[in-house]
Amino acid sequence: MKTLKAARAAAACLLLLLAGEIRSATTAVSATVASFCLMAVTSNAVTLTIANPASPGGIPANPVNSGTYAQYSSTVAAGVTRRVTAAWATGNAAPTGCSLLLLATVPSGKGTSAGTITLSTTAQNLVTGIGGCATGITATSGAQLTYTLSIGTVTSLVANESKSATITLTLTDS
Amino acid sequence: MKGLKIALAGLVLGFALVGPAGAASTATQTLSMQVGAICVVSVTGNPSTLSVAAPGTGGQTPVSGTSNSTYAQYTSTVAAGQTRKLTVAWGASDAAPAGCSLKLMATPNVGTNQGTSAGQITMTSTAQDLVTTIKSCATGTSAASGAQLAYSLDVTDPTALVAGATKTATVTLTLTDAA
Repeated sequence: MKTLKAARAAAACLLLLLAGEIRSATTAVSATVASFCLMAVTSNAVTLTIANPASPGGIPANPVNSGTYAQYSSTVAAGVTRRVTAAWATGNAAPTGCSLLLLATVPSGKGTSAGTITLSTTAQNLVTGIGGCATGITATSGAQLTYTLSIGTVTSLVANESKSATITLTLTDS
Repeated sequence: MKGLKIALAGLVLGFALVGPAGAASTATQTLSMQVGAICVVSVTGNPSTLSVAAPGTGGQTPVSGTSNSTYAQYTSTVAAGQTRKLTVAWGASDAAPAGCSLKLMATPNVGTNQGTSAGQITMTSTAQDLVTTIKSCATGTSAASGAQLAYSLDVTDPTALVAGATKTATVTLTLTDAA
């Protein structure tokens, strides 16, 4: 019986709609964009090796790796920007006589490169002026990361010296 | 009817781009850095012909032929406590003209770690030290960079000299770990 009553009520509403009795209705639509701040890198395997120079007597070339990208999605409030900072862990160091440099090459609309930095344990700006954006997630999307192991003093180099460093990239509010 | 209107008016649609919210997000990369063991050497060219010439005054010993226009250039990286040396020898069948001996001295650049001259040696087919105590360094590659090689064809026995005698020798310089 209850089911029958409900069916009748629904049918009545339908008839009223068809008859034009209900001519308008208002709907409040609330759309919210959450504030998010997501960061990833395309790979964590980067190797830099100082090898033979092009000519004996010459200083070995600085090894370079440009094969990884920082990818991020960001939404910000009006007037707010974000930045990517970089730092390595406490205790990390480059091989003797060398320093580790990092440059982010940023696609248009995804922030501005802060130029080449020398890695240290203090977070330094790598990309600034990041607004709302999504860099993409393909293998070559995002801010291209160019690591350079720069030889400062060739006479300080120690053959077969190996160092491992953990670089942390952080997307954060400016 | 009123109830239905209220129900429709009260319908709220919420659109939200969902994702982990927060003011910071991090990602990490691990870098491996290594210094290769580098040990390479070259020479800037071949020395000019060494000719025994007439003395300034009759009765004197003929003058040695010399050449110091070439350089040994090398790049080296060594482990802590390790050194390298530059040795020299000529081929097994090489020889100086009769009555002569071929001598060589290397003068390294003043630059740090480029080694110490072992003094003048008389060339043989046995490798001899020319520069010692070479550590991590790069001598440079310009025309006058590196250890200057001073060759001298000295007359040891004027009575054995043969006019017009010519010899060609292949001298090999080797950068190697010190024993």
